Amino acid sequence: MDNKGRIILTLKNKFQDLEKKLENIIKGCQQQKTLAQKELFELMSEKMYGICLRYGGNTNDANDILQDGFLKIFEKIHQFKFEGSFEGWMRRIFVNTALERYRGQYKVINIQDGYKELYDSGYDNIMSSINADELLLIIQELSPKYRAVFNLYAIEGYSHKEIADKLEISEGTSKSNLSRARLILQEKISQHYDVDVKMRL
Amino acid sequence: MSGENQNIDHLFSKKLKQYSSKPPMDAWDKIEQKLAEKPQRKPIVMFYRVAAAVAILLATGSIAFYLTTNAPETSIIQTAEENNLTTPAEKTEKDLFTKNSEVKNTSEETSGEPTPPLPGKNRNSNSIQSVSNTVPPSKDTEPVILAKADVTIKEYTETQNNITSDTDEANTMNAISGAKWSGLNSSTKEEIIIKETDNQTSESYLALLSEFENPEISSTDFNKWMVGGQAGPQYSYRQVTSNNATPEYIDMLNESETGVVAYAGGVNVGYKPAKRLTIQSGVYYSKIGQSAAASYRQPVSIGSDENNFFDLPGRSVNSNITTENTPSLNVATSMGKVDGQIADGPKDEVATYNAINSQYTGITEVNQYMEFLEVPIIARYAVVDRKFDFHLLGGLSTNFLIASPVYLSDGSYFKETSGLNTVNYSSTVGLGFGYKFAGNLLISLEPQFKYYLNSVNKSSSTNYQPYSFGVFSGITYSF
Repeated sequence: MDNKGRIILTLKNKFQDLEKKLENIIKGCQQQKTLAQKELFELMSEKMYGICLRYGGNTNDANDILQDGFLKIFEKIHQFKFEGSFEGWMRRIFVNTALERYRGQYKVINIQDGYKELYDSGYDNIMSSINADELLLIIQELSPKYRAVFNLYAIEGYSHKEIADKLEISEGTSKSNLSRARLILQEKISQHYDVDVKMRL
Repeated sequence: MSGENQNIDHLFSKKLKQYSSKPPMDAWDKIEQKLAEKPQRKPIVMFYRVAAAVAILLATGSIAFYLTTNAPETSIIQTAEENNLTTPAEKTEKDLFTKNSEVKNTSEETSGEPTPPLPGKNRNSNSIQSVSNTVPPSKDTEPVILAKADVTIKEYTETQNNITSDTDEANTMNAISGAKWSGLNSSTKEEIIIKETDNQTSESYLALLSEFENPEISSTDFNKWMVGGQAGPQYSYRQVTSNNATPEYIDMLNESETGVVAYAGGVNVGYKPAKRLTIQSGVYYSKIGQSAAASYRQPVSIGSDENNFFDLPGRSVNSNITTENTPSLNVATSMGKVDGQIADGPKDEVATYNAINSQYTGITEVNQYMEFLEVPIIARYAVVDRKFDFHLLGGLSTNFLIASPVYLSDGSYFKETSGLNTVNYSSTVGLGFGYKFAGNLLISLEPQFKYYLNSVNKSSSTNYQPYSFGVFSGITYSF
C-alpha cells in the first residue's frame, strides 16, 4: 500500500476508535450514568459554550444557557438514535435553548434607513486582522432579536422561513431583522477598524 | 443578495462557526447539582419496565405451570414466583439482568452469567440503572430490551476501565466530537487532521479528505514509474534442429552436450498505464551456453626408448621424449566449431596413446558460453495486488552477443566460438512474487523461462536455439 493509502487507513482507524468511544459515552448518558454525563460535558462544553456566547448577550446569560442546554441534552439524549451527526444534534438543542431564553423579544419595528456598505477592499484587510474573540464581542452588542436572526441565518444557515418558525415571527420580520443586524455589524466593524465606507442612498 | 452582505455573513460565519471557549470552572458542578435534584425516572421508562416485569411474570408463570404439571420438584419454582410478586418495582431491575440468560435474544454478545450490579457514582440519586429505552415499542419488546440492556451495559462496563483522563486523548476526542455514525463532519476531520499533523503536511492530509469520503482509489492514484534491478541463476540448454543432418547426428549431439548453470542480471524501468499493468524494459546481462565433449590430441615423437611411458601428453618424463607443439583441442558442437591449441593436456582426463598415429587422444569437457546484452520489453499483469503481489509476465527481447567464450574443464579460458549471430531474439514468460515494503519498495522473486526464436549460429548444418530457466531476485522502487 502506498503512503496515501496508509494515511487514509490510519485516519480511518483513528476516527472509528473515537467514534466508538463517543458512542459508549452517549450510551452511558442514556442510562443516566453520572460519569458518562461528566465526560460528555468535558468533551463538548467548550464548543457549546461558543454557541452560548454567540446567542447570549453577555457572559452571565451564556453561562445560564450552557447549564440549561446541558440539562436539556441529558434529558433528551435517549431520543438520539445514532443517526446523523451527534454534534449537530447537540448544537440544535443548544440553539433552541438559547432562543428560548429571549422568547418574545424577537418582534421588531421596521426602521427604514440609508445603509452603508462595507468597502470591498476593506473586507480583505479585516478578514486577516480581525479575530474571533473580537467578532464575538461585536455580536454580543446586538440586541437579542438581531443577534438571534443574524446567528441563525449567517452562521447556522437557516432560511428565513425556518427562522420565522423558530422565533414565532413573520418571514418579513426575519428579513428586516437580518438587514438591520448586518448594518449595525458593518458599522461597528468599520468603527473598530477605521475602514473606508461608501455612503449609499 | 449583494456581495457586501455576503461578505459580512461570511466574515462572521468563518470566524465564529466553530468558535470554542472555556466555560467557567463551576459550570459542571452546577449542572451536576441540578441533575441530582431532578427525578431520574421517566414515565415512559416506567411503562416499559412494568411491561417487562409483567411479561417476565407471565413467562415465569407459564414455565412454572408447565414444570409443575410434569415434574415433582416445584418448591424452587414457586419461590422464584413469589420473589417476582413481592416488590415488582425494585426486584425488576435485578430480574432483568438475572433473567438475561434465560431469555432468548438476538444479541451477539450475550454472556451466560448474570450481569453484576453496575458501577455508578450516585447510586442513590440514579437509583435505577434503567434499561436503554431507545427501542421503539413492538411485540417483541421484552427480549429485545433485555438483549440491548445486556449488550450496552456490558460494553459500557468494559469501556469504563479503558477511559482515562489523559489530556491527550481528551483533546483528540474534542476534535472528533462531531463524529457521526455514517461518517464524520468535514470540519471535524479537518480539526483532527490539523491537530495530528504538522502544519506543513496538514494540507496534503486535507486533500485526502475527499478520498476518505470516497474510498475507491481513483484511476490515477498509484505510482506510475518504477526502476529496479534483478539478478539470479539460470540453467540453460538448447534445442537443436537441422535441415540436412541425420537424426543420428542430432542424437549424438544431444548425447554429448548438456546444459549449464550460469547467471543473469540487469536493471529495468517500468511504466504503469493502469493499476495492474506494467510495461517494462531495461538492460540485462545474460550468460547461457552448454557443456560439450571435445577431443584433443597430442602428437608425440618418441626417442629411442620405446618403453618409456608418459603420464599425459605433453609431459615429458624422459628427456628422450620430445613433443611437438602443445595439445590441440577440437571443439565441434551444435553451437559451432572451435579449434586451437591448449597449453597443456587436461589434467583430469586419461589420454590413450595411438601408436599408429603417434599421438595421444582424449576427450574432455568444455563449457561453451554465450554472453548477451539483452534489451527486453516485458508486460506484467498483477493478478494479486496487495502487500503481497503475484503477477504474470511475458515479452520479447533483443539480445546482442558480446562474447562467446569457451572454457576448459579446469576453468581456464580457451577461445571464442565463432560463427554466431550478433543479434538474436527471444521470448520470455514468467511468474512474479512480490512483497511491498517501506511504501515504494518491492522485493520480488521471479521464475522466468526464455526461449530463443532464432538460431544463434549462422551455420546451416545445425540450428541452435538456446533456452533458459532462471529464478531472479529483484528489488523495485516505485515513484
